[in-house]
Amino acid sequence: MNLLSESISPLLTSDKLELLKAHKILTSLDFVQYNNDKIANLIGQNVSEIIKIKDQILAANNSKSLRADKLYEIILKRTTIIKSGIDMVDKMLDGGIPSGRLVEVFGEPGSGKTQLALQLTANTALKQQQTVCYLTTSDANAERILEIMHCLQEDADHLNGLERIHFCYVNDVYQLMEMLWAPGMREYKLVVIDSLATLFLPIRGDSFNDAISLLNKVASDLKRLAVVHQCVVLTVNHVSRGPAEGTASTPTPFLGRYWCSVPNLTLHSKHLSKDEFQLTVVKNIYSPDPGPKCSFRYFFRSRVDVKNEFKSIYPHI
Amino acid sequence: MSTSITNSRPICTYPIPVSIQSKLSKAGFLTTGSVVNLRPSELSSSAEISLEDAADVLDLVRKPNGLFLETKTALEILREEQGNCPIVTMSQNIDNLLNGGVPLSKVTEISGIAGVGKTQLCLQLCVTVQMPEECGGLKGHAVFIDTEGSFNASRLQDMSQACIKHCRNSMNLAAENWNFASITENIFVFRCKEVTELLSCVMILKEFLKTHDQVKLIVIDSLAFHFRHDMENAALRSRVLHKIAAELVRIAVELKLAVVVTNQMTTKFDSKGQGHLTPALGTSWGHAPTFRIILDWDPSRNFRWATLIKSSSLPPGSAPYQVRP
Repeated sequence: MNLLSESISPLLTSDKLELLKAHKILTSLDFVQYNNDKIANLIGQNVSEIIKIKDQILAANNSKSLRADKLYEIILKRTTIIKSGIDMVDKMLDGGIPSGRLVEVFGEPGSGKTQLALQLTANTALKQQQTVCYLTTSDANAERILEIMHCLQEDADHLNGLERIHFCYVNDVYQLMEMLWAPGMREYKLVVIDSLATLFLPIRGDSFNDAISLLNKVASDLKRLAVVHQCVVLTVNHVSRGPAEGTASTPTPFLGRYWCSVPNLTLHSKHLSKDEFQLTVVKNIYSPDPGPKCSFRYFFRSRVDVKNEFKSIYPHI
Repeated sequence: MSTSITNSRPICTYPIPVSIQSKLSKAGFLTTGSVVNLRPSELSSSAEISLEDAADVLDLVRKPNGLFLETKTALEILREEQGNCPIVTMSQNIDNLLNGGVPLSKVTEISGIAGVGKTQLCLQLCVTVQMPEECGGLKGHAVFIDTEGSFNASRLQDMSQACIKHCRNSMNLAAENWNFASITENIFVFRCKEVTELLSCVMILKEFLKTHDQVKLIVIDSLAFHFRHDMENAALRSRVLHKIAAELVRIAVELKLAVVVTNQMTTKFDSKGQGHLTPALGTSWGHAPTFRIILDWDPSRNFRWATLIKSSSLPPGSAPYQVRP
């Protein structure tokens, strides 16, 4: 949607544009919606010329149609399936998460959301050798990623895998949007935002900032990123309040009712006991089965061993 | 191709004040492409905004995607982290629980019931952060933000003497420079009597740290106090609390120092009406710190337990410890 200018048609000279401006016809959208006769009277042109200009504008802004089979071929070529490396989780997700999807994982603090994000990141960078962008609001845990990589595959090239993961600290929503609009984002096959809720906490409920419309913009930008660049976008969300008394239902995720309809796949993460975590599929628009769950453990190793082992393998770090 | 994407970026995705955004959209400027080639005077007259505002908007919009260059690969971060030495707590068990001690570049929360020893642990950290490197310390200074009036200089004296003795015995260090006077010189105490003071203190901390770049530890004892007593409006309380949390995280990461925050306990009732103690300030706050520790008494009252309830990289666990004079 552009401003009207002479580049659209040579008939739209600057004095005519001024006349249109005085009548609040500023963008091409305004022009296209306005009555033909009224515009013709305003700027002294034939109605047929006006119609021609309108057609030009519509043609320039039209999206091109694509045959479904060609689209299918393109998708087959560009799709990657992002796996977590934990067999139970991958089985529950029917093999993994194909690109073009927006995934959300939510849960209480300490329930393992960041662990899942780190697991997916490490596996994608190491085994599938794709680049990952990890946008974090709190910390960038490179040591943990190295540990996960070790647990996944002892003798792989971990350092190269680490180079494929790009961390970036985002402190507020506008920085996130800056990143989403950066041209380099197309390179990544997995984009993790940990966590989306933290970015909205300082502005929620503040009428000045209209957090809801910002959330809408972020949601549409994330979807655009996932679909257009064919990557998987994983967002981490919090819970708004615990389950109501006595019910076994899952708690409500934090970002509101509108946000619930945005992701294609929603997972609820729970910390069951010392080592056990549980993931439940709350929403999956591609699968008919409601709520499969699985319990599993994340890989952890004894801290002292890990430190010594790393120092011996990577003395130059 | 990349410029056309940037040119179709909506203006509302930039941090521009709402009043100016509405004027811009009324004048038809909806995407970056429509303003990027204008001069400030043209934009100012078309959109009826002041010249300074127009210049600011154009600066924002024309900035090259510099932010994108600030990504770091995991390998670089790993290299940096290897150089980061955690702050020891002088309790072997707790240090093992935390894989070396209180980590730098992260926010750690310590909760516990009244009297369990949160302030003690914070004072201890203020002393150990100053230990010379030969003893495993960081030779750094500390900032102590006190909201409850619990900063106890005489206890600090006991702790420093014990620490100095420990270093001298274990390391045979002469360390004439390192004595009680020098320790107290390097701890900066801010007393905050209400929420607005606390908020301003945290916000101007960055300026303070520019002139005091040897600070390696920031302690807030306790964060919960003013929020539980002063603030009636829950929405405002949540916003202020998270603003403080975001600023603390930013300081911790950018300046590579450890931030320790203490929290009080509150009772949560579950479905059966049973109450159990959880850290105060709510579940949303629970996501902000990277590490959360709860201190509690052992039922025998002979020693205490420190339990790691949340961490991003360590398995959860508990460690018994004692407070000695």
